[in-house]
Amino acid sequence: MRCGNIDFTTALSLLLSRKDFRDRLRDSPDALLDEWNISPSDRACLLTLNHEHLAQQADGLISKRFHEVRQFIPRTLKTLPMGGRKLFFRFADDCWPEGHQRHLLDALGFARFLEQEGGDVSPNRFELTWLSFLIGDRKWSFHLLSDFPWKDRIYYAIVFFYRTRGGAPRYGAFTLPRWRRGSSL
Amino acid sequence: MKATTGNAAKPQWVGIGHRAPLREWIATRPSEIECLEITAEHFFEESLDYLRDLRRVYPLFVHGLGLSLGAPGPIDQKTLNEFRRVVEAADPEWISEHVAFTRTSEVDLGHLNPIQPSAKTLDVVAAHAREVSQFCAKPIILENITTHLRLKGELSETDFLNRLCEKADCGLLLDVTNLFINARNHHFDARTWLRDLDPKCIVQLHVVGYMERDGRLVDNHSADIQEDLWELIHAVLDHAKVRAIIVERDGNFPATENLASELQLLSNALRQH
Repeated sequence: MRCGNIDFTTALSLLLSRKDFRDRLRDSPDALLDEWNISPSDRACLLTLNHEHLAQQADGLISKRFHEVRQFIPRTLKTLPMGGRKLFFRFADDCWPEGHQRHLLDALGFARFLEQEGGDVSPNRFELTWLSFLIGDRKWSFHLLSDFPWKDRIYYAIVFFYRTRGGAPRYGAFTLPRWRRGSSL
Repeated sequence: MKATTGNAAKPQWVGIGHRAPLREWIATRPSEIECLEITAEHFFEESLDYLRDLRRVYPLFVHGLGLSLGAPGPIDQKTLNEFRRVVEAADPEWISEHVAFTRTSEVDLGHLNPIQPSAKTLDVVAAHAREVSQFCAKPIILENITTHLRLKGELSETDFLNRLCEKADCGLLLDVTNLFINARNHHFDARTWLRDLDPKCIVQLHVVGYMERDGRLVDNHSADIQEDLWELIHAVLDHAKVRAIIVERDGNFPATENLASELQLLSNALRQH
């Protein structure tokens, strides 16, 4: 992060993206704003920010990210306490993926975070592999997966990911005769 | 671009924001859908033949989420190029973005955040809006957002928006739900706010029901339009002659008959005023 001569909007973006900055604005604002070399007029505006509303706006951003991520890894989240919301907030506060694929990157980042720090919980392999394919630029790939969801059951399956001529990602699967014992969606 | 500039008999439309779960319904060409709003980011790096086909059937509008017009510095060129690619395929009546920022040189927050209503910010947004409009060769309109954080500046929000429309030669996409939510959460009167807004600026409306969470209203675009919101929609239609109304539903999609009936009610309201 650059220091010095930061304008109001950029300062606000930093405050919204990191709780430690919000804490410093509340506890020792002069030190933080000196470090950012904020102009006197912007400084006055930043000092009038309502800390509660600032935190709500910041939490709202992460909630919206979580809402997007939920659509990509629903089965993974279903296995987590509180649907993974608390864990996602822990993951998301210092990680802000960029660009129009950011929701995919967020979902993949969170799934990998779960692999490393999720304790007993591991992400659904099908969702993780599908996400990796969506983000990459491969034309096709084959995978043998043990947790392919189909018709309310989880199957072993050979899964084929591919892109259509128009570039739209698709998949097909050959499910193997037995579903995993004890697993259902 | 102003709603009432030039010919007063310009067409008016009621339609819906295009979303993947609505695709099959849209393909049946229901009579209640008179136009569609395309979210540009949903089609980035995608084949655009589908949009070209849609264009033959419906008037389209292209709506942006991530150009971050309120942030100082240049607009992200890659995002702008992709936005234009979608615009070229859709050939919309107009394009739209938000009076907000989503990213700065430091971080991409990914969602909309408020900007300060100041003369300095006004210059930034107006210059960016003009740039996007020229780059895409389409008129642009800008949308008010909902926010937990209400920023103070030397201008009121309505004064800022009126001046912005003048300075950027753009119109306003008035999100009636956002106005309703902000008014409730920040304790101001929506109708007074509306009276302060130049009616000639308002070109298009966004509407969708709101939700309540922890004592505050939120815009998760997942509910039917509530009665008190209908009252504000009628107040807006009394105030300004709008060109289009879009139902902006993102989730918890109702049966298509219910959505069709909501569109029909909006169509009746639009034509009554």
